[in-house]
Amino acid sequence: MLKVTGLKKVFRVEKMFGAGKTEIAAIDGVSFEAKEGSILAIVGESGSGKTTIARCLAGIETPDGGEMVYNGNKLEFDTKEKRAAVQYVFQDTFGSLNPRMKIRDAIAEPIEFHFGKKSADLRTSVDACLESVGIKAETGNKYPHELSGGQRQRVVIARALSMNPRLLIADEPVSSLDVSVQAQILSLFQKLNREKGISIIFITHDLRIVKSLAHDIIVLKNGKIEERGGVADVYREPKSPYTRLLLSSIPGNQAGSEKIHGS
Amino acid sequence: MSIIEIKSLSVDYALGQNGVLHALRNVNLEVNAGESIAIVGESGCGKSTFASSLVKLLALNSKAAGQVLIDGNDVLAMTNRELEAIRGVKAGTIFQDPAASLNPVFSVKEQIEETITAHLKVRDKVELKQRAIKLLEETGIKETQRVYEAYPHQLSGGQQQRVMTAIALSCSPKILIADEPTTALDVTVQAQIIALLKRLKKERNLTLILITHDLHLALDLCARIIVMYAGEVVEDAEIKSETDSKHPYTRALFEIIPDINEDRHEFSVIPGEVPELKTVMNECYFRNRCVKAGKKCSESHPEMENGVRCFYPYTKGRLKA
Repeated sequence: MLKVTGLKKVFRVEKMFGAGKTEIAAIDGVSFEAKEGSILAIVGESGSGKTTIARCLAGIETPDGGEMVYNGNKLEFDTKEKRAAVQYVFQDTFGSLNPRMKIRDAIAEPIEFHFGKKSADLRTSVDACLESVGIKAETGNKYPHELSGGQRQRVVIARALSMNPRLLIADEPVSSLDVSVQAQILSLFQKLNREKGISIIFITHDLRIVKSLAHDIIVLKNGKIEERGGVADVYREPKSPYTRLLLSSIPGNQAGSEKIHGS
Repeated sequence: MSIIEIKSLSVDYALGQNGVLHALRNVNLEVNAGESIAIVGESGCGKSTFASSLVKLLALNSKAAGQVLIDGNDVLAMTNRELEAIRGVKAGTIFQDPAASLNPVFSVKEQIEETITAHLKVRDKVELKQRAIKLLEETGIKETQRVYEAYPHQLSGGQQQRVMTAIALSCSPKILIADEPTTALDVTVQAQIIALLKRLKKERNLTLILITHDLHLALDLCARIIVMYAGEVVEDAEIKSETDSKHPYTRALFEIIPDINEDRHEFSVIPGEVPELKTVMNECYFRNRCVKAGKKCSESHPEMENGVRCFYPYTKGRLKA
């Protein structure tokens, strides 16, 4: 179980012409729990702090306060084993893969580094890895630009899985994909969660996806939690007006009736 | 009377040594004035090529055949000079990414007024400002004076899309083409832009051509849905819900949208991908991904019949068995 208490991250932004620095709290005292083997969705609009939470959990950002505890141990990133335990899937599939590296090599590199596998052994691992996400082994000989967006996202997921992570963080993994490819990737996440029991933190602004995919939900606004709970409960009876607004913004959602104002 | 009439429109892209891509094949369509239509389909089905050919904004390596008649005049046969009377004047366009569509080095004021001056030859500064402010108000912008003087980067995504809409409407076009107008925006902002489009459509009696891959957005804004697959129209009908659709592809598009009224459930998937549009085959292009594919589908290419291009269409009203 992942337990986060009072997580805080402040960015210091330089003002123009040396007028000093101003502080922006990207996340401001966020506490939540994610059950082992569950999918937790973090939703909110741009600038709400979704990604900052994820980056703190993955050790990309160092929090300015608060605690992150995973199964009784503090979440730390001081050894390579600890870093490998939390894996991250980014939105931009193109930016996540080195354009000069073949798919096979991009997946092999971390396996070699972390597990010290070599030659034939390494090759088998890479093939197994690709096949686990529905990509043929021979596709591994291609370069990123030769694959479609959906295939690239699968490769990135395969690479993350090769580390046997305890926690997988997916930051808007389907936002840049086509509808039909979105469904394919979401179904892959579903399968990974069900069959391998991997805990997933799924960041998205698409509330339609959350309803079908996640067990629990956190609604973020301006770096603070607006609402949290089981997905079914929150969708049935949203307590916060902001959650109601988000739910009523889904095109074709008859349940929401709140009027939307402002520019 | 139909305001847009498309007759056997085909668009090919020359890919050098990689052959020719048939992005649009034999598209026939009539749109009545004041009608709203949505073009839906996956990436690579020809949606955006369709939108661009309406105002002849096609890439240099493209070759278009057929006719696109707007008010009876063939847009494809026009010179750039003649097109100036169509683009923006008869048909305004809103693109997907407002930040990329606005010029970063010109203020909103300059960009709206430039369009009005270029097309309507209005040069009086007072009149120009009046018009621009009125357009900004109409698109629901609150601080009109600030936005009028602002540069694009000083505006939020929603405001930028409103400004784009103001520019698209500046010459009072009868037709508004919206190419994925909400994809780049946040959920609540999306809802605002949809509400705006709905209001403008009604107030100005616009003919709206919406290009989207979001079927729900399409149903929300348009009564008539045109479904495209592999460069062809496969269904053209008034669709309100899944049970109205006849083509297996349309049904599949409905199926893959997660159901908001259901709790955690399996995601439906359309297996495979849109085929390469390079060859012309004597078979149904959707055959390999279709749940209803039968013998006929591999023997000949289906034609449009009663608004659907399929040998084994669903009958209206019945859900997939």
